[in-house]
Amino acid sequence: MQQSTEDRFTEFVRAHTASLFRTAYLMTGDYQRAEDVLQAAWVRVYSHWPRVEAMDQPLGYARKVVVNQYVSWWRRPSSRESLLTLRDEPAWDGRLEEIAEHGRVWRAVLSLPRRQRAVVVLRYYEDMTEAQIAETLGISPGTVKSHAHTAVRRLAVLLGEPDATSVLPAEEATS
Amino acid sequence: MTVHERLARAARQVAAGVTPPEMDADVVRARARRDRRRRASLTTAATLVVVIAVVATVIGGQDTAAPGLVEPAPAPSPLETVTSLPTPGETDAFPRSMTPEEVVHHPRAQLWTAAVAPGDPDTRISMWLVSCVRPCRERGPFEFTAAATTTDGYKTTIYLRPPFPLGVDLHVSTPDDGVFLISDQSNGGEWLVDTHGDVRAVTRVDSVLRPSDPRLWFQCPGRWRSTWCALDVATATAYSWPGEWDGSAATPASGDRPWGTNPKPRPTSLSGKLEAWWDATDGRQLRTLTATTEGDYILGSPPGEMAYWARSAGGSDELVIYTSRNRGEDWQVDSRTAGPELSGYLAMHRSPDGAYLAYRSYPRLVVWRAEASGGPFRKVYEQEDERSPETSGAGLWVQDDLVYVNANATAAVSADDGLTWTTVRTWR
Repeated sequence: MQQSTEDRFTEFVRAHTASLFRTAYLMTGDYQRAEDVLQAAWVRVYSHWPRVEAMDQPLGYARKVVVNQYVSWWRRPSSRESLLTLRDEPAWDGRLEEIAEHGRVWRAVLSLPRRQRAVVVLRYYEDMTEAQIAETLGISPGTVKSHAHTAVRRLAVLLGEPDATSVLPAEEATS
Repeated sequence: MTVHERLARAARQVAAGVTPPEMDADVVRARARRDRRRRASLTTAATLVVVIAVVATVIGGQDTAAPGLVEPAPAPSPLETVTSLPTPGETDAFPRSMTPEEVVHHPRAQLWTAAVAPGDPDTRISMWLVSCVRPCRERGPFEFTAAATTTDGYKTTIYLRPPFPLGVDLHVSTPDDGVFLISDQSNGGEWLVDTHGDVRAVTRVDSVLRPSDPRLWFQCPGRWRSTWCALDVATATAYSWPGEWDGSAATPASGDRPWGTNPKPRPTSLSGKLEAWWDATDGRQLRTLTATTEGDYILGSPPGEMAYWARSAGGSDELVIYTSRNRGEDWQVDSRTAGPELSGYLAMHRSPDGAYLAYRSYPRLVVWRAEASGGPFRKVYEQEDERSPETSGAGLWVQDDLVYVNANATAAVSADDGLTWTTVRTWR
């Protein structure tokens, strides 16, 4: 039996909620805000569903909506930044030091400005190329490169990378 | 592991560690319909406002001195979110949260940062984190933080929710009785937390203030490395001293001119040499003391004395101390036996009697001591529990006759010039 348009939307939501939620969560660092971002994104996708499902990459479009919802969420005057609600869970294999390590790394990521943070998530979690990130964020590849470079320099310092200075310009080096 | 590998790994682990919510497509459809209705009613309301305004203008004629004839339409209520519901009985504005007291006493609470007031070891602050490795029962899957402060060794406690992130290089010191200064050395923020639980964000200004109380001086993040800030507790203002003090081991309170190690942009670890710099009447002077990748200044040196330490290149078991008491004209070189275990990311500070206290915080907090007059460095303190969370905000402070050190959620106090130490164990 052929699926209806509504059924295909339901199936799409079911299939991609987990991965898109994780993307939203990595950017917001907050479970409930990630939920809000994703739900708002799904509402938008649903509003244009006939056009979206006809696209070559409907998931790519949905991901783009999630990222833009995240950016616009930050623009709302009522939103407040929270760096405190990152949590750990299952991939934990019982080694406390590992939890501390990836929590520490991601806390540093959450201290980045929002566009740099989005670039880091798309690059290191979604494994996107600069061109794909540019397309998703609606900015030029050169701007992506600049955001990525600045973010990595900042993170190297925050994380106390032994070779942090090698990715830093001289005027920002620390000893 | 490179920073790129660490980021990719952390992203995967954090993402894998979260349980996505069930997202009901029918709820999405209902919200989409409601949004459409709201947009339609907002359009109607806006049209109505325009019509009323036009009518009022017509009725009011040219009398612009009579405002207020038109009642503005009520503002639309904000969009409601149809996501998770608050836990029944939860009174906090942010649903599915824990109170600070609940966080501190949670069975899985981790002690993240701890500090004692040197002037009164019963005055303490501790910061706690609950990271739910499974969703916290009826609380939702979050990470929660809280601080607990006391003036009687936690017989009574004030709990609060810190407005700053934990674990990102926090230094905690005591600038005044009953007040803790939290300095985020990575991100550059400072906060004052008093023992009543009040928290104030500190405003940083580029200006000069010279307080007489040495406790009011603290090292704050500068453009190159740490610079010196003077704190005004009453107004919660940190006065960041001018650029020449950036990287200086001497505090402006000492009366010395600035001196330090390796001027910008040459860190010892990259340049392969320990350089001493000091400001003189004819400008900044520079001298290479030795070839090494491990070395730095010694904090707490007496006024008029510049002191540096270095480990010789090639993994020597000796630490060498370089001292000048006449602004670089003459240098004394003093080799001390240190042993192979005295290694890692070391820092050094003088004790109240002038002894050398070397300490490191990774993988556990260890303190070594050598007499000022000579002799080897000996281990005088070692943190017991290596599994404590690693916080890089390690520090060693001297106040009057007390020395205290903290790192990795451990704090220890010495009242005999760093010879013996007492670990403070009660933190909640």
